[in-house]
Amino acid sequence: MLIFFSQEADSLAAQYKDSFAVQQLSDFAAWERNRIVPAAFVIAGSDKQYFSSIAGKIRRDSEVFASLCFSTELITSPDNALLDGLLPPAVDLQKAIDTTNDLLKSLKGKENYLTHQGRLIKYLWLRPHLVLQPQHEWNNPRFYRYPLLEALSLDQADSFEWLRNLTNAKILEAVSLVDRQRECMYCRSSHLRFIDICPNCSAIDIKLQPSLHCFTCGCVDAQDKFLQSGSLVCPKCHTHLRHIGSDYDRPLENYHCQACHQSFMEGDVQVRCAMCEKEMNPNDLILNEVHAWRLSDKGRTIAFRGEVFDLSSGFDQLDFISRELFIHDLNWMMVMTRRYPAVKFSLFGIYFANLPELVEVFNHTRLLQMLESFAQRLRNLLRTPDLSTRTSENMLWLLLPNTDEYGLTGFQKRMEKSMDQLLEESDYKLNFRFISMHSQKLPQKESAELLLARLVGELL
Amino acid sequence: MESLIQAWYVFRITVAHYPDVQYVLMLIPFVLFFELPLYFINWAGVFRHLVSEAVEVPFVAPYHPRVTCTITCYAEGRSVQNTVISLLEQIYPGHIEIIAVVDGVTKNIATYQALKELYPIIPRYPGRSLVIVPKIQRGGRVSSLNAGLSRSRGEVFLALDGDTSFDNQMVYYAAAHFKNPDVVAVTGPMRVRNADKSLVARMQDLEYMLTMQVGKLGFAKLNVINNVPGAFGIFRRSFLQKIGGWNTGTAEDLDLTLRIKKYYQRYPHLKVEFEPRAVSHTDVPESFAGFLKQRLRWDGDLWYVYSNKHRSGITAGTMGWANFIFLLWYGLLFQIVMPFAIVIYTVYMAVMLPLYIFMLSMILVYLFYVILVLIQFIMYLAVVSDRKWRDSKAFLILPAYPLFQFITRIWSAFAIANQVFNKGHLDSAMAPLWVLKKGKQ
Repeated sequence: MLIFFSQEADSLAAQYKDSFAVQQLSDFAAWERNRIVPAAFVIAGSDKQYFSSIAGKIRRDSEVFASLCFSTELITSPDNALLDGLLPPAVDLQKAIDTTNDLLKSLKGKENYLTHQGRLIKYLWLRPHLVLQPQHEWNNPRFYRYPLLEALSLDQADSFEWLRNLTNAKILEAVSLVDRQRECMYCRSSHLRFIDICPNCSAIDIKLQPSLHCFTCGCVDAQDKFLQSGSLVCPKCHTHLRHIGSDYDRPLENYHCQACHQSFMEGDVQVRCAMCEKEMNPNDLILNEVHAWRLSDKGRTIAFRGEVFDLSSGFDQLDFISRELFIHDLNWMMVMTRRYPAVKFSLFGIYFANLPELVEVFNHTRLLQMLESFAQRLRNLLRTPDLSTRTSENMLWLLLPNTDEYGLTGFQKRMEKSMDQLLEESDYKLNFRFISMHSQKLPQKESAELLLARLVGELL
Repeated sequence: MESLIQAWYVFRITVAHYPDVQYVLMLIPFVLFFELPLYFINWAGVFRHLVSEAVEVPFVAPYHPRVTCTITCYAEGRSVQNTVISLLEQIYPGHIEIIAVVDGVTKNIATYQALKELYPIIPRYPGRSLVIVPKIQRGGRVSSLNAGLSRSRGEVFLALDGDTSFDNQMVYYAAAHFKNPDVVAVTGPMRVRNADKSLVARMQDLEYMLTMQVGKLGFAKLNVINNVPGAFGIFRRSFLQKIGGWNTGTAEDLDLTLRIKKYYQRYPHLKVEFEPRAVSHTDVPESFAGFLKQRLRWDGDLWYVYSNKHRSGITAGTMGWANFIFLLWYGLLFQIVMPFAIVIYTVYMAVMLPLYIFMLSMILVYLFYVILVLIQFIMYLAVVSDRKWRDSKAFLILPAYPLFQFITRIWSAFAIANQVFNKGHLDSAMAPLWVLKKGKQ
């Protein structure tokens, strides 16, 4: 089945009616009412805005984000990257759909593709030859953007940041280097201006001033001061300077600061960011290499084996329960404690402050090993009824029933000892923080959700 | 004065007592008598210059035409940069177009690279431009100059050597002469840059001061300048193009000067000027062997140009009486005949006369020259020199200078003989053989 998005009755749809079931819709909202997953979407017409809005919505949808999507006309827009190109003739279209379906069948672990990373892997798996090209936009703060990455991450991640993580995880590999650019160290903008300034007082009012150096008395001054009725005469010793190299030469100090009157050879260069207007040294600029990307072998392995590696896999041994369930249980415990003060429990939070940075320092496998080893130790500390969950990539929560203030202190001490051992084994500091709370200290009117949010706030 | 009287006495005796066989003996007094008037004329010219300097109101009209400097480069290497920089540094409001022609560039890559290194600094000098013309086929100095001439757009054309540099007002003073439409060529003093390097260089330094500076200044006032040197010649481009540029063969500078002079009878207003303030600095051979080699070519070329190229052109009918007489006198007698006369006479005296008379006459001749040189040098220091302190160092070697002159003359005789019997002009570093052969033989 094909779904044609068109603002007007489109004759093109008719050509495909013989081979496909065709449904014509005017906008994405109309499709969302029924949510019929078609073999391919087609966006008709040449209206750029219409085109971009529909294409963006398809790629941001949780269900059809990876569907084939074609346009009927060639539209020059960065959002072209969201599409699979021009609508091919019916025969070729059928082939494309068949190929996609074959690939879709070989894709394993369907539930994994709900995360952004999973979506990207699925999208690229279905298009084996796709190269993720950066789109150049002069008015973009970073000059380049990846519209597809923005759509698949639902505009939540910075594309370059995400790409770095994906490369570290070896899911993507670079095809070619498109550009190498310097970026502002504060806002990562590439809109930079370079200004020559005085190295002494940093004033920008400097000018090129031809100077001379008299060999007889060593006087160095501006050339104008030497010129006397068509010949060069030293203003200090009045020697007639006739021949360069034997009477005088040109000093290397060629620039003159109008503000502090310093003469110097070469001005310092200062960078001004056009976006955040901060000033910095050219050496401080961040080098960003802009690549074109494709799915790596590892990425393809994940797609057909059905496993999505991410940092959380290191904690797999901990048997996490879902966040909702954890909050539900915590709420139940809090209600219990308020009703029966004899029932005690503790809440323990572990926050890994530098996990994303660590990915860059270690390779992915090493970090996984480290986290696994940590999880091993943690599991030894936990008792069977203890519950654990993860509210974000680097935030773990433990619910310890029947643990009072005394028990909690003991637990924390054992945790710290275990962590110290872990740190001794690894050469890099895992930066972690603990937060804890026991049932005696519970405020009267606070839900589990609010409690967790407050504790996270304290941690940060 | 005493030596003069003695000489006169000897002369009288000789004529009286040996009227038919002792002609040779007459040559030394001849030398004295022919040389002295030349000096007197020269001094008169310098005196005239002095008077005009003192009396005439110096008026320099604002005349700053576009100037083309063609530098003929060969194996100078990095020192060619000094030449270009000294031209960039000129204090001159007009445009200076520098054309550096590198001859046989495949062999002289170092020179070519040195020139290319200068490209980045050109924008620092307003009104200056540099064009590098690499010539793959080596064609010699003449072909480089003509290549530069065909490309030049300046009104004034400077033919310069790659190992010569210039004072920063050279172009200003030289170009000013061309305000006068009669002036077709200008030359200026050439100073020796490496005088401190060796005794031979110091001797040549003194020689340049006396001949190139005092000599040319005096002769220029009479418009009988003998040669516009190849390393430093300034011409009106339109005139140069009209007479067809340089001609193939060695000593192209003397050839060109003679060709200009041939216009003098028909166009008596034409002038070749000497500008004492347009100073150039050049390197001379530092070793004695190098010096001899250079002179072998120069003096040999004299004969080549006079006898082969301009045999029928040296007449009063083409160049006017003043230049004709001057050329006979200075060019032929002084430069060609006298070296032989000196050699023959010295040998004759050494063989025929008792040793003490020979020694005595030699000492007399020596003293005569020392006095002559001293007068000339003091006059140079007082009137012409612009670097008096530096030049006065030559006093130290002045007593030895007549000896140097003597050797130079003898060598000159050898060089001319080499040219006459051995076609020495075909053995020149200035151009490859196949080019030299195309010249008038």
